[in-house]
Amino acid sequence: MNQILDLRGVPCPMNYVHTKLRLEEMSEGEVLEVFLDKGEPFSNVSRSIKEEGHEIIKVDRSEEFCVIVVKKGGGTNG
Amino acid sequence: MTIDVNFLKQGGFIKQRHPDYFLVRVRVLAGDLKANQLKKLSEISEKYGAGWVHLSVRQGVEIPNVRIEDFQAVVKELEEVDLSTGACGPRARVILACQGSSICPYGLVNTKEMAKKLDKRIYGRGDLPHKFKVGICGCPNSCTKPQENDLGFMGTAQPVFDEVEGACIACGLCAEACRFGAITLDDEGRPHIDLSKCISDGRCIHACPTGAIRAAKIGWRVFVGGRFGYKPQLGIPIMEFVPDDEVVDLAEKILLAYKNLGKKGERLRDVIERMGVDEFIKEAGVMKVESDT
Repeated sequence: MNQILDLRGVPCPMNYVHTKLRLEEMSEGEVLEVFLDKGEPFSNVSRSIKEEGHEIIKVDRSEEFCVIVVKKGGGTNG
Repeated sequence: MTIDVNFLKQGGFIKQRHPDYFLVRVRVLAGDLKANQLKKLSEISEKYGAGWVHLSVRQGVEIPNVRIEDFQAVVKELEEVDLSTGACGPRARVILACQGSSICPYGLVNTKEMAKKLDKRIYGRGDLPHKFKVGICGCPNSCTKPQENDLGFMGTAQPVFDEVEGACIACGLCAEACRFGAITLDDEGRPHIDLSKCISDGRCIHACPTGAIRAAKIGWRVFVGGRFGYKPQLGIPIMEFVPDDEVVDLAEKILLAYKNLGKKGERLRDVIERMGVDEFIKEAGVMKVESDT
C-alpha cells in the first residue's frame, strides 16, 4: 500500500519540507504518492526529490494538479 | 601625526563629504566573509569608524568615518584576517559572483572557484583607461547581473535527450520545467528539444528524474561591454560554452585589449562602440561564436 501526501495548496519550499520529512520516516523501497499543484511546486519538489537520491517512477497529472510517485532511495539521507 | 603618503597610494579609501572622514572600501571576493572576518570588521568599525558598515552593490563592505591617519592601522588589522582594501579608480574591480553550483539548486557551474581564479589573475590590475568590472553568475537567472559588467560570465548548459544514462519515463517534467516552450512531448510523452528556443538554463536537465536529458555541454556565456551608471547598456554576448579552463585566459586577453586599445576615460563599451564588436574581439585575439541558443 503506497503512502499518500496531499500537498495541494502548500507553497514552496514547505511542500518539499513535508515531502522530505515523510520520506525520512519511510524505509528504502517504499513508495510515496505526492499530490502537488502544477507549476513551480511540481517542478521544484520533483527536482529536490531526485537530488536527495529518491526515484521518481511515475508522474500523473490532471487539469489542476500532479501526482509524483516516489520510491524511497538509499540517497543522501537514506 | 605622520601620514605615509606612499602607503595611501595603494588606494582603497574614498573621501566623504565630511572633511576629516574617509570611507575604507574592503574587498570581499564573491560576497563571502568568514566569521572571524565579520568579527574583525565589527571591531574595526567600532575602533576607527562610526560603529557600523555599509554593504555595497558589488558585495563589498565599506567602513565609513575613518580618519586618514588611522587608515594604515585599519589596513593592518584587515590583513590579520586575510582581508584587504578594495580597488577604486581605473582598476580591475572585485569579482562579483553568485552562490553558484556549490549552494544554489539552479547553479550550473562553480562560481566561487571561478571568482577565485579570476581574482588571482586580474584583480586590482591598474593603468587602465577606466574602471573594469567583472561579474559572474551560475545560470541564466543572472542574479549577479553579469550583463552589467565590462566583462561577464554566465554558466550555461545545453541539454540533449539521450537515453544511455537513463530511460525516459514520459513524466513530462522537462517540458514543465522549461519556461521557453523549447520542449514538446510526442504522443508517447517523450521530449523533443528545440535548441533554437533553448536559453541553456539547465532546468530540464535538473528536472529529469532519470537522466534521460543530460548536459551535452556545460560552460560559460561571455558578455562584453556591459555597464550601468548614467548610461546603462547590457553586455554583448560574444561566446558560448567556454570551458572552465579557458575562462581566465580569455579574461586576460579582453582586459589586455581594453588596456591597449582604450583611450583614457573610456569604458570597455566605449571602445567597442568606437571599433565595432567584431573588430575589438579580433584585436583581442578571441574568437566570436554565433549563439546557437
